[in-house]
Amino acid sequence: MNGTAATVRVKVELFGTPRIHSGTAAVELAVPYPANRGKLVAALAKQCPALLGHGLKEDLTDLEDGYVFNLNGLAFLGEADFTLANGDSLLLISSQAGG
Amino acid sequence: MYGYHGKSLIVDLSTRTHRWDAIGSDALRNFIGGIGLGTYLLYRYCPPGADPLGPDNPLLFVGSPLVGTRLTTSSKFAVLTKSPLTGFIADSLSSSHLATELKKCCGDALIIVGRAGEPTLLRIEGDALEPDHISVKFEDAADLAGLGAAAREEAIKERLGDPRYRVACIGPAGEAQVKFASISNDGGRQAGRCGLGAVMGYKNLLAVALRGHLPVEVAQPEAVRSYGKDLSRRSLGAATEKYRNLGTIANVAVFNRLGTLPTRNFRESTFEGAEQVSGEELHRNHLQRNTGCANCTIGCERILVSRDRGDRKGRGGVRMEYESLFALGPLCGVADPDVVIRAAAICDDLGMDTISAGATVAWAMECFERGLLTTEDTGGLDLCFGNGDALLRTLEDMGHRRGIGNLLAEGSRAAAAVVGSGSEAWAMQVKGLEMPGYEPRSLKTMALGLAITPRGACHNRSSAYEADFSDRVDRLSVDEARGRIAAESEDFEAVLDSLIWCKFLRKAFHDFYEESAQVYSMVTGWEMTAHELRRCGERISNLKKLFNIREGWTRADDTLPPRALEEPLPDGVAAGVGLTKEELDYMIAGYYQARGWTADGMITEDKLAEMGLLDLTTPVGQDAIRL
Repeated sequence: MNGTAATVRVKVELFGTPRIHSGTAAVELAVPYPANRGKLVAALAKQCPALLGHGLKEDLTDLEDGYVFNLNGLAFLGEADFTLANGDSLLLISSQAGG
Repeated sequence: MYGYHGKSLIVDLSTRTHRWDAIGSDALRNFIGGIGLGTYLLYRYCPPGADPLGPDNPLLFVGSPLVGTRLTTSSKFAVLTKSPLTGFIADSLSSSHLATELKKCCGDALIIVGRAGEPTLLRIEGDALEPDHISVKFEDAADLAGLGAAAREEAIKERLGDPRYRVACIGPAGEAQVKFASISNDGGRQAGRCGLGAVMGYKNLLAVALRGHLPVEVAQPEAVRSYGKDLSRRSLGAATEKYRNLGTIANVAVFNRLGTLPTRNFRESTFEGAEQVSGEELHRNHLQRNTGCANCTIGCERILVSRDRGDRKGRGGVRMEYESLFALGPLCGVADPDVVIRAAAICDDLGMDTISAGATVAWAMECFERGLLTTEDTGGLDLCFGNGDALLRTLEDMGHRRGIGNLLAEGSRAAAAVVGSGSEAWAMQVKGLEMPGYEPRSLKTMALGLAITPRGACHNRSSAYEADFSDRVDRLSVDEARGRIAAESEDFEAVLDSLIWCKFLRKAFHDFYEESAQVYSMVTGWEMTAHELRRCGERISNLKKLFNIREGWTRADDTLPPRALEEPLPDGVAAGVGLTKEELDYMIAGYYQARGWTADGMITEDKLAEMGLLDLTTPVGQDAIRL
C-alpha cells in the first residue's frame, strides 16, 4: 500500500453499522498528503457515501458522535487530529464498547 | 410518598406467612433503589454466614424510583441473594413488565425467605379497590416441574387465566440447583448471573406471579413527562446507534480485531471463525426480528433463529447478546452460528447463565484435550474445542445434572477443585464467577475491574473497559490512574443500576449525575444533588464490599486466574502482551487507595462513618418496622 508523494495510502476497516450500510468490510483510500483527520473523513465520504449519517457527519467535518477511529488495532484516536503514514489501517468503530 | 412506597413485602415460604416491613426514607434516599437498595436489604435480611442454599438466605426482587414513570429504559428490577456460586453478594438485573407489576404489587421490594415443602407457585395479587390489601397464595406447582422456562411462564399465565400477571420463574436448571441457574421473566429475559435460580430452586419456588394495583405516583408529573420526551429523543441519537442497529453482538468482529475476544478458554484473544459468528453475519443471515423491553426506545434485542436441520431448539428464535455469543462460540472454539444459536436457546430453556455455562464447558474442553477428562467421563463425547454437538449435549447434561454435567453444574472453580491436576489455572473465574468476554491482558483497566468487583468477574458492575476502549489510557500497559478509574466506574454503575437506567442509555445524558439527580428530585420530591448522587454510588460500592467482608472475603479473593497472570497472549495485535501478578497488585493497591481502604482492602471505621454505614452493624431485623 504505497502512496505517491502527494498521497498517503491507508485502509479503513468498517465494523457494525458502517459495514452494514456500506456493504463492505474495508476500503482502501489515497488521502492527500499530509493525511490528517479532516482529509481522511473527506476521502472516506467520497468513496463510501453510504457512511454519511452512519458514522460520518453529513457535513463531512468529522465522525458522528458515538464513533471513533482506532489506529492499527492499537491506539484509539479520540477527537484530536492525527497524521497517517502509508500502510496504516484505521478501524471505524462505535465508541460504545459495552455489551 | 412519591417514587417509592416505603415498604417491602416479606414472604416466608416455610410458614406460609407474609407481612409488610417499612423501609425508612433515609435508606431509600441513601441507597436509591435497584442494586443499591437491594444491597442494603440483603445486608439486613441475610444472617451473617447464611448457607446460600439454606432457608435463611433471602431472595430479593427490588424495584426502583423510576419504575412506573414510563421514562425510557426504566422498567428494570434487581434480584439479589447470597450467591451459591461465589459465597458473596449476588446481584443481577432484569427488565420489562415484571418491574412495574413488582412495584404495584410488593411495594419497593419482595423479600422471600424460608423454603417451601413442595414445588410452589407464589401468587401475589393486589386488590383493585383496596390496593394496600394483597392476597398471597402458595399454590401447588408439581404440574409445572420439568418444564422449560418459557413454557413454564406460558403455563402459569394460562392457569391463572389472566395475561396481565407477570411471572418470574426458573427452568429445570434452577430445579436441579445448578449453581449458575438464572431466573427468567417476560418471555426469556434473564436475571442471569451468580446462581439466583439455584436459590429459588432450593426454596422449591418454581415461579412467582404478580399482579398489583398500588399507585405509582411522582412528585412533579409534568416535569417528568417533559424530561422523558427529551430523553427519549436523545435515546434515538448516534450514542445508541450501535445498540439500535446491531445490538451488543456487534462486539465480536471489533473485539477480534483488537485482540480482546476470549477464544478457546482464554488461550487466545482472536478467533479464526469470528467473522462467521460476527454480529454483522448474524444480522444478515439469522435475524428474525428486533425487539426491546417495556418502556424502551432503544430496542437493542436481536431475536435470532438457526437455519440448520437440527432439533427445534433455536428455530423459534432466541435473544442473542454478545456475552452469550462469545461464551458459546469463540470461547468453546465453535464457529457455526446455528450451533451457537441453539446453545443459547438451550441455556434459556433450561434457565442457565450463558456466560458461566459456556465458560465451564470451555474449561472442560481444555481438560479433555489435556487428558484430565476422558470419554469415560464424558459418556463417549469427544469434548474438544470446536465440537458443536458436544457443546450442545454437555449443556443439556449440565442443566439436568446428568453424567459429567453434574460436576460442571457446580461451576468451573468447584469442578477444577475436584479434577485438580493444575486445572485450577485455566478455570477462568474470579471469586467463583466465570469471566465475561473481555480479555484482561489486552484490556488492563478492565483486568483490574474484573479482579475487584464484589460479585466476581463482571462487566456490568465495573465498566472499566470504557477507559481501555478510548484514548484515556494505553490499554496494553498499567499506570497509577487505573485504581481511580476503576473506582469511579464502579460508583457510576452503582448509581445507574440503582435508579435503574439501562446501560445503553449512558452516553445519551449530557451530564449523567446532574440529570439523574434532577430526575430523582422530580420523581421523589426529595432534593438530590449530583454530588449526593455520586456519594450514593460510593456508599453502595462500599456496602457491597462490606457484605463480602462479613461473608469471609480476604485480599486473596481480589485476583485473576493464573492463566491471565502467567501466559502472554499468543496472537492478534496484542501478541506477546501479558499481565503479571505484580502489575495487577499494583493496580489493586491503587484501587484500594482510591477507595480510602486499608492496604489489605478492608474498610476502615472512619470510612464506614463517612459513608453512614456504621449503624448497619446492628443485628438483623432490629430496624425492621412492621406495618
